Amino acid sequence: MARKDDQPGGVWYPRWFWPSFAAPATIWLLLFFVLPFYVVLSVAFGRLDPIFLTAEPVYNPVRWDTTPFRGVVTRLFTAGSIEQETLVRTLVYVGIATAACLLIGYPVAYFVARHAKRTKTWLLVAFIAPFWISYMMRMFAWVNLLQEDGYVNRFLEAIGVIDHPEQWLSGRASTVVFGLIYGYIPFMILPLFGTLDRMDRSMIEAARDLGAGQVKTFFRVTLPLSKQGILAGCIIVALPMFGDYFTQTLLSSTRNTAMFGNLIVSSIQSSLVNTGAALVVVMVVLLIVPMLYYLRSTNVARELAER
Amino acid sequence: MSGPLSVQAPPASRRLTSWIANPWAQARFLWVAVFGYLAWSLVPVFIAVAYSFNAGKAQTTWQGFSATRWFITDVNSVWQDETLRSALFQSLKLSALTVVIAVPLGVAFAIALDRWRGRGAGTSDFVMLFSFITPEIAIGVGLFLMMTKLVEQIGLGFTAQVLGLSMYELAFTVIIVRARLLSVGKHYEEAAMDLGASPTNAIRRVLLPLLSPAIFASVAIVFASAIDNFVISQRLCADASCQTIPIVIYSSARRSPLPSLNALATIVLVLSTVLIGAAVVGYRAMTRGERALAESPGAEEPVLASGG
Amino acid sequence: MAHPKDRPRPIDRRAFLQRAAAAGIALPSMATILAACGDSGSSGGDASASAALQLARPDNPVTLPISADNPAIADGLDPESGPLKIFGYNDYIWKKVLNGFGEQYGVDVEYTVFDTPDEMVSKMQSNGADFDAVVTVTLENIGKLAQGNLIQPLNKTYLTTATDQLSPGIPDFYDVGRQYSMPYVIFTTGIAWRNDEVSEDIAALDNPWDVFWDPKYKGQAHLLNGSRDTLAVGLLRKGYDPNESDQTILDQVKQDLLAGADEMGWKYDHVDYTELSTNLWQVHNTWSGQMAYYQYYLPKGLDITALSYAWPPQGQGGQKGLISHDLFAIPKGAASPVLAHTLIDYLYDPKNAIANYSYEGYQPTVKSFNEDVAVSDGFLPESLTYTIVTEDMVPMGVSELELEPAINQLYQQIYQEVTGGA
Repeated sequence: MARKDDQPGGVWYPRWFWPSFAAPATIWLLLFFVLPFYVVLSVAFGRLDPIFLTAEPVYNPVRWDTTPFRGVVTRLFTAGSIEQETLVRTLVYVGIATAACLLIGYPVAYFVARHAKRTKTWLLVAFIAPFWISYMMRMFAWVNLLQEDGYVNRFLEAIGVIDHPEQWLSGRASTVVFGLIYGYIPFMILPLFGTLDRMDRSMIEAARDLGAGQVKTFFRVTLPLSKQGILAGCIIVALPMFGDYFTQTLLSSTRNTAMFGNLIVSSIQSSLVNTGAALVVVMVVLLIVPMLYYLRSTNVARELAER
Repeated sequence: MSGPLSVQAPPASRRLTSWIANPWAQARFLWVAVFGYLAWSLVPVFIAVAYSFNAGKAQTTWQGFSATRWFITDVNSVWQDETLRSALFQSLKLSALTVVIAVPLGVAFAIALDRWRGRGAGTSDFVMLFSFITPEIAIGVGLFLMMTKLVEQIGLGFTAQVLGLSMYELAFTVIIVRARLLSVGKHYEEAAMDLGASPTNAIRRVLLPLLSPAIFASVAIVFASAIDNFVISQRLCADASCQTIPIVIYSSARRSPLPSLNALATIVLVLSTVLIGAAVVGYRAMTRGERALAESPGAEEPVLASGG
Repeated sequence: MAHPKDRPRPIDRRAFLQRAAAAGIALPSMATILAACGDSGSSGGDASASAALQLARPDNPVTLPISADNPAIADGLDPESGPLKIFGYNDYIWKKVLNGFGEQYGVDVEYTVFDTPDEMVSKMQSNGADFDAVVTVTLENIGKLAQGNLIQPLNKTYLTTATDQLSPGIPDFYDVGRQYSMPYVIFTTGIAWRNDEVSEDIAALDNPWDVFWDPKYKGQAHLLNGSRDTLAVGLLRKGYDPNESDQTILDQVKQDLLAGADEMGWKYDHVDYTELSTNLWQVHNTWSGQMAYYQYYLPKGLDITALSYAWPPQGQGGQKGLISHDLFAIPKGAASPVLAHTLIDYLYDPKNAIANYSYEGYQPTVKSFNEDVAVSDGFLPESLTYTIVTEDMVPMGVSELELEPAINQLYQQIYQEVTGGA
């Protein structure tokens, strides 16, 4: 039989075969992923309706008007503007929260990967649980716990850390960062666990054989070998966290903790739609480098396959 | 468990006392860390679930146990309050339709990506992974703008939610199925085709059954993920009729909600747990034969492996 | 030949960039397709290119244009089978009254909530035809909704009770002849406070609005949400008009509000009544109707007499306060316009209007309603009778009215900055 495709093994597939399998999903992605991005660009560079001053999308790139977009970008670089304020604040929150997720998540992942033999499966289930427990439910649980008469205040008063109930839900950056950590830490643990679980034991054993103590082995062998997992975990945590707006709204909802996502959402919900679109463009541009890096360096399918 | 303790196992009593006496050993510190983490991670959820059985209206004071008040009997319970009940059914409907679209599309796509050597494959793969890693708000805003400016005939609402969410969940399915494909390999189909099956039949009768654990797993995971989806569903929802459970929780959480909200969340939690549990059990059952084969002594390559 | 069990190698940089580029190529090709679809794009409101937005003022009444492609519905049609979809502030019509309507006409009633007038406008632009009746069109938006072709002219033949019962003292400069709208309720915007926790008499202050900047009430004073209401506090405090368009003044007020937001920890909402039980506020910017509404949300141990209301002209100081009324409107392309008209007419039936008032606390604009009704029928507690809004109060106050689009957008931007998009 003539080989019409370069499939190994001498098997004959018609040329249209595999593309037709891929076609439906590709069309779906084109229509509902790529096209919306294009509409965002068209709105960000579109013109404004005279009565409502909302953006009319302009689909022909030749006629794009970059003035409002440049205005947004200028405001980003203007000290004291809300755009800059929220952007900087978001970067700070995401940075702190991601670091904390790593510091908490690494020991936990390390333990389950390397030490827990019999209970490994159950522990893994407990780790994965937050993925199917609704994010909203988890945050809602904390909203109740952090109320003025909630259990957190009662507990802290009981052990003497505070002497009167605190308002945790009124504009505290610490509460928001705490919420972000709580919400996103499962995303850190899983890739870390994956890397640590798959790590070649012989390297560690070799180090121990050569006389290195536990701590030294950890810092000189385990940690460097887990770099890939650390990076993957940090990106998987930081990227969605950057666009998070609902955690802040649930736990604080004031101006001094507003994140970049809040700015986008409030723009879209009012007449400032083109600003909202411009901010989305800015966000994607900002995050494109880590996104591409992640895609390039970690073959996601491969990671999951080897679990 | 290897560690700083001595090589032979001392009697249990000695082990316990030296365990307590030596709190600096790394493994112990980690045990504490792990259980501390798990408690921190899961106890708040247990408390929220517990309060769905609170006899009174409070969210922070336990007022006694009532099994059915917030689920069925109270006028504001999940069953009787229209907003909550409709949110439950909307979530189920949305997730079911999302699964029905995303899983077949994703399975076909995964198979194609694994086999297709043409030029378009890499690009499609890239776009799919990109959709996985893009912050959801960007996708949500894009879909919102598209539905309100470009395709107003569809507009916001349930249809838009289904279309957008099924796209978003595609990547999940593809990733899960591809992982399975990697371990299955091409040789079964090739053998089938050598024996005269057409490519389509080979896929249908040989590959798909082999993939069934992964398909099964993706159904469960996509369903659970879709039920939990917030950003895209909220952006594409204009009125009360398309509100899903996360949207209802979000809008009520800060307004002194009744425990019926907890009850709603508990229902979904139980549902998701059962689903995921069934998926795990089912997956393991479906792959039992392969694991037995892999673990049995002397098993190496499957009989039908072609040459290298 | 590749081994079946071979893992795919990670792709090299060049191939990766090629794929990224290929994906990017998809965009411009889409561009050409879309550009062929025409550039104007379609949107929910198509404005007649020539007419700028007419700004209605008491001394500059505006007759809203009726265009040929947006006629009122025909006379004599039967009510549709429903469901009737209402769009309004939360809990703004008593459920019992709506159920009564539903039973009388045999239809289901669905109620969708919006949080601020700005949100209402954007939803009307994208999804207006999804609704049949909009219940909270504020005076500052009726002009743009009508001129932007988002609402349809009313057919008065369906509104006989309404026309008959409408209180004559309600002004109509924003929609001369009431072609597009009918008033719903009348109210003032002022300051509510807990007199059991607050020792000073806010109503008697020289400038009651200062209370929102008073550090004594830090974390315990909150504002209404919505760009106009929030900015009005800042404007009125400094004695400016809530429809101020001077950019320097707006900038100054913005700085005041920013300073206040940082200092005082304001929240912005209109669900102050639910916050009584959590002791969230001692002072809250609110509407007169909420005062009566509080009766139903009092926690144990709190009496309605603990709540007081300040509306600036009734206190000292002599500044003008906000007084306004909300309007009904029917979106263009509504599925059940006859039902919508019927609802408006139904709510003007004095029986229903009073019943609605008994729960909502917002005064209907019907002739038969007056102070005596409210007090004698026991709907309003004694301690709150001074919150009743009468028509002779209208000249004492000002309303938030239509702004020029660019200024309106400026208000929204200031609001966004002050609230942080929360």
